[in-house]
Amino acid sequence: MKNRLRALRAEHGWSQARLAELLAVSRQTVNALETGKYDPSLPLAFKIARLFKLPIEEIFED
Amino acid sequence: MLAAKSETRAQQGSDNNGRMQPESEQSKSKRRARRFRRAAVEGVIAASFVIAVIIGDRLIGDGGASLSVRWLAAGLPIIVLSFWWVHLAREIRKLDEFEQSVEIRALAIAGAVTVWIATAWGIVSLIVGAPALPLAMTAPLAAIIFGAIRQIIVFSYR
Repeated sequence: MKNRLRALRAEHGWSQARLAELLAVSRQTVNALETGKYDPSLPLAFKIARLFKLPIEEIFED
Repeated sequence: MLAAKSETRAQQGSDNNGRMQPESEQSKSKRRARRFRRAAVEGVIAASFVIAVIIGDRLIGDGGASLSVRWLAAGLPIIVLSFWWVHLAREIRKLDEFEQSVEIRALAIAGAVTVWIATAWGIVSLIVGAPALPLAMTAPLAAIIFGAIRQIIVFSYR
């Protein structure tokens, strides 16, 4: 699954570490999400959507 | 100088060509300390298990030990093994969902590899007459395989 996480994070000027802190996950998790190697669970996807104030489908696409 | 450079790059949010961003020195040392602590605790538990098995073996000695001593000899390593498994489960529960998925995948593969090794060894032992696999050492064998597979999986995500 593709996502815009890296671009959104860059728009906010956050580092991977900062985004990891905001999502309460590890930096490795943020990196795996950004590279598309890991698809988040629904609760984590919602958390990401709420953080960026965007609908899920605007962040993730199949 | 290098540390300062890496912190600045980490703060800038650069994409670093799809790789992980450089980590600040503070977070790197925290992560290393956490990893070392886990490895140390698991190493101590594994060593305790092996020692408990050896003590159990020595306790029963030449076979003249009473039934209660035999139960004690068997119970000691089983208690350590149970503690080991509970500790592992608790450690996995502390992780986030991605880290948990890595650990669970590594556990599944390690379980399959261990069963394969034990079965293959059993076949060789039965047909060729090689020494039998000491079944009490299955857990440490699985732990070594688990550790190696976990590293391979973690590396594949970098």
